[in-house]
Amino acid sequence: MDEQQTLDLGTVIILGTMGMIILAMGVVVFFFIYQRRMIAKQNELTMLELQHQKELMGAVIQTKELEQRRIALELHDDVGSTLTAIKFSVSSFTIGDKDKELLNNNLADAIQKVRRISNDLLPSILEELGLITAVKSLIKTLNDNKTVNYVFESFGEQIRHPKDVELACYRVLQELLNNILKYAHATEVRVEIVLSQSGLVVIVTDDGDGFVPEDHTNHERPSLGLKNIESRIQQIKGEITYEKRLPKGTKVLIDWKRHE
Amino acid sequence: MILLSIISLFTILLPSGMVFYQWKSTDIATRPIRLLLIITLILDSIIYYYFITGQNKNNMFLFHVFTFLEMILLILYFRSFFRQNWIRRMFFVLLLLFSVMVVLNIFYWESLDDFPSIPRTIECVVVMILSILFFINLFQQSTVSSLMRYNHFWLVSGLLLFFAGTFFMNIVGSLVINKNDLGFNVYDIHSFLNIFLNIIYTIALWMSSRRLISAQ
Repeated sequence: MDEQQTLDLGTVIILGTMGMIILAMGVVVFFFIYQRRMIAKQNELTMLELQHQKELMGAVIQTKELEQRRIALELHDDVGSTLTAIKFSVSSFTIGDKDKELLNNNLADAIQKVRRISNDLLPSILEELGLITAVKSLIKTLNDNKTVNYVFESFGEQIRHPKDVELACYRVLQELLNNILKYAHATEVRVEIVLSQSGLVVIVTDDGDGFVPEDHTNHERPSLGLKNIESRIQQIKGEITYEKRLPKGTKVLIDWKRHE
Repeated sequence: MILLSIISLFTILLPSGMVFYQWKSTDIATRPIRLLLIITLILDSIIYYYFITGQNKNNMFLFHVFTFLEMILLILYFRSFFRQNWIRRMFFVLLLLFSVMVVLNIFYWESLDDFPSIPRTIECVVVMILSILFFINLFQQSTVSSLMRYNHFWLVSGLLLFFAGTFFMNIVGSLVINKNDLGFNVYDIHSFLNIFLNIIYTIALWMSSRRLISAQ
């Protein structure tokens, strides 16, 4: 009887120990699987949030473009026309020639300014004649400012890509050239555009201080301009790369491929 | 199976060797575990000395001392993962209660010559509960992206498996410690689990050093 009880005790110990080990292993495996699922879910949420932010940014850019278009058309068609009408009316006024000339000059100046603002807000040349002509015109305007020498070259076929792609490239180029003028201390800026059926490449090189966004992300928040550039390039599913040139300067490459 | 017990005793050399190798380690969280390993090495050396000199003296008092120190260090180890003040205070209360219980046990229930069944069983339950709380806390914070590369996940999993495995043995420890007619040696289960735990300690300490090196 006593021997039987001893054997039962041994069985209880073995079974109990095995049961407890299996239970403990179950707990470890459960938490392990649970954690993996939780991480996967978190990654999914982060991705969704990023996607949502991209969509929001895209919507903001689109709204901005629409608003700019509306203001540009108002300025061109309404304010511009009114000013031109006033200019013609002035010639019939009975005032001194000197005053008439002064008034005419001021009105011509105002008409010119309205046209420039309208053109900045909505580069009609871009819509009508395409990216190459619009950039040529932009470079010509910038070259009037003698502090920096701008050089422009285009290669490839004379074709048109979707309007949103051309507009995004033009806006990014505007932002890049503006940044170079403000911060790079460059003396020469080169803009090259290569057009082909499969896509387009825009290369901007300067001989300034040298800049890559990664140098600024650790201790500073990226500027609104850089965020804008990134968003516009993301919107058209393109790529943008920055690299420092030796001995000085920066090379920025925008690459867009046609997705059929 | 004397051989298995001796192997089990000697496996402490692996993690304690790692402790001495990383003597200047700045990993504060594993400090109680490092101290526990040094204490285990000292006590195992004394037990081995008793064994090779053939002294048949009762050395159960060492087990009482070890249980007390092990529980204190494990409570301090688990405490380091919790930030809330009230939980940290609860750990001190737990530590105090366990100390009082160990003293009362020696005086009233299990003397220094008996197997410390009650403190061992309580220790098992406490470590199992703390391990589960550690996992819950870990997931609430969700700061660890890969558990396999997190040394504390290995340590706590090893502790949970060891204390769950020795739970039944500790409950009936005082009844069967000297019985040879169970068909097996109860202490062999402990030896197996002890070898397993020492390997886990070694892996976790090795990972801890690699983590700190890569973080520098």
